[in-house]
Amino acid sequence: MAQVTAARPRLLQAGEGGVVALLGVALPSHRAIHVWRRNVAVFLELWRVNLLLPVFEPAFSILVMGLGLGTYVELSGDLDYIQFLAPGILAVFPMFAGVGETLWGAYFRLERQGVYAAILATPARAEDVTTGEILWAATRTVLSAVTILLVLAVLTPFYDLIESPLALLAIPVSFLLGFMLGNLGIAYISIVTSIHQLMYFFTLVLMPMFWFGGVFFPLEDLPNWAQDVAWFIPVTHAVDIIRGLIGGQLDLGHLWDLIWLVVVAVPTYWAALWLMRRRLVR
Amino acid sequence: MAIIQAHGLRKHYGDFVAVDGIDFAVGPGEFFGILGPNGAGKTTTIRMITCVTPLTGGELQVDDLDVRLDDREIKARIGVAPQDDNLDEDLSVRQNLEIYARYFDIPREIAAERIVDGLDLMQLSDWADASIRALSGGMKRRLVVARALVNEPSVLILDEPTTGLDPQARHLVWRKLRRLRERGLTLVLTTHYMDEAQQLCDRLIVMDHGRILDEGRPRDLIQKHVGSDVLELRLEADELERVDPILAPMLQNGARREDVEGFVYIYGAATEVTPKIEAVVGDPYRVLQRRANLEDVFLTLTGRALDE
Repeated sequence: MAQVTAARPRLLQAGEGGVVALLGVALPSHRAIHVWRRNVAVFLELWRVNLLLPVFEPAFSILVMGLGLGTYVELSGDLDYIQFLAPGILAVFPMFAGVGETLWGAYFRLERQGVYAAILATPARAEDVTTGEILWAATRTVLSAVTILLVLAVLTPFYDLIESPLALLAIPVSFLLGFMLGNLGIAYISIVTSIHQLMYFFTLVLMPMFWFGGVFFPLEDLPNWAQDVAWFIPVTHAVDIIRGLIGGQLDLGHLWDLIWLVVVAVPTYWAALWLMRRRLVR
Repeated sequence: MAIIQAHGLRKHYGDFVAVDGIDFAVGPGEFFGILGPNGAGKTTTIRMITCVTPLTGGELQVDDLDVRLDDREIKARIGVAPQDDNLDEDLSVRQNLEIYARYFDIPREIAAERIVDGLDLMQLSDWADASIRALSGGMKRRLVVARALVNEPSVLILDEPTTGLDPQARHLVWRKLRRLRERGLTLVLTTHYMDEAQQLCDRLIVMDHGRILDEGRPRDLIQKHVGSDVLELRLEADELERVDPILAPMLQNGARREDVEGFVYIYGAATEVTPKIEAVVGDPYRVLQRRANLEDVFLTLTGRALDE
């Protein structure tokens, strides 16, 4: 054993507390799944509350905005407004479920309920806690996306919302978006000093994504500078891909959207690990 | 061979020195106490032993493993009952233990057996399906201990196990801890309840300001710092004048006197003079002769002043 580790470059060795010098964090272990399962167990205790709410809100939004507002909106091309809106709703609404977990949920587990402190007394490390929480945020995002997809499927005979079975691939895209937002959420709660600051994430991060991610109007209609800004919003790319999948019209641009999402997920994941270790291990 | 061994153990938070280079060792099967006022560095020491706080300096081994490098292995071998009940309020009593056991990768069936045993030992079997919110403070504390035992640790670490409990609940926790001691478990506890330390601990260290002030068996520490008996007097000024000459010979023989806001304490008092003092004071309730205890040691070593 000693010989094997001695042969590895120092920067890649796991040192004190398993921290790899080059990364400043330890590598997560399978115990992240145990942390994830803890959240699943709690979710299942309360599933009725948790599952019904995400059905009604997106359904109302699609119907009210799609049909009500939609009668005043003329899109270039032959899309009805409700057909334009539906994939956007499928992309953004699940964010709220995921972010709700990592902001309020995780904050309470960290600060008030002592859940993290209890877990850290076991062989699990800070990175296992962080990773389990982020995976759970992604899972909640996916659960919500599946619910909305079902709503869209029910409405499809009336409004032609889903044009292709590729729509099912919206689920992994949701996972990726949920994972990335989970990273941002966990990173954020690891630096806030009071629960009142949580709302800022909502206002400054989530709402701009919600309004300027190309959900409610085509971004091509915006001035160039605003389009450039929108390009940096992760949701924009998720909305793009999901619109392509639902409409059954994919092109090379969607591949770039996907790469964008993956490329951003990696450093944000690292930031979440690093900041949460700094918060927990001291 | 020690189970826990610390050399020059040190923890700084910025300029604040929480633990200032301490040495101690805990032997197998020992019930070891860490005493000290709030802010003495007890919890920080515990957190370093349990591998949740990194060391600033010094060496610390648990079961011959280095806390810096073998955190996972050490955490697998110890049980921790923290100061604040961090039970999972969203889950039932049984679920709390089941989910905790998972983090140790204990197979389900084995965990189930241990959970039954643990709940039985801690007199919680009837509450297995109850919500955490339904438990009393004493039950929660016992559940925290049951949870700490789920990985069958060789060392159990308890941070202020009875703080905030009523007397009945405290005595029940104490009985349970003695049972564990009889089973051969090594126990480390922090407390600022002196009766608790005196009741439970084989050996202890007294800490203040991050340093160890003294260490030893409770009775040895009492004898060394206080003597056998203590006299507590609550006196009016004129009575004090008449009592002074009675006290003088004791003080010359090595007893120690402390005056605190109308009270006079004589540590290492000669018991035969008590009737004479009672004759002067008249009211026997203001003259108390009692056995010296750890609280006297504690106050002698750390001082009476509340430094906050």
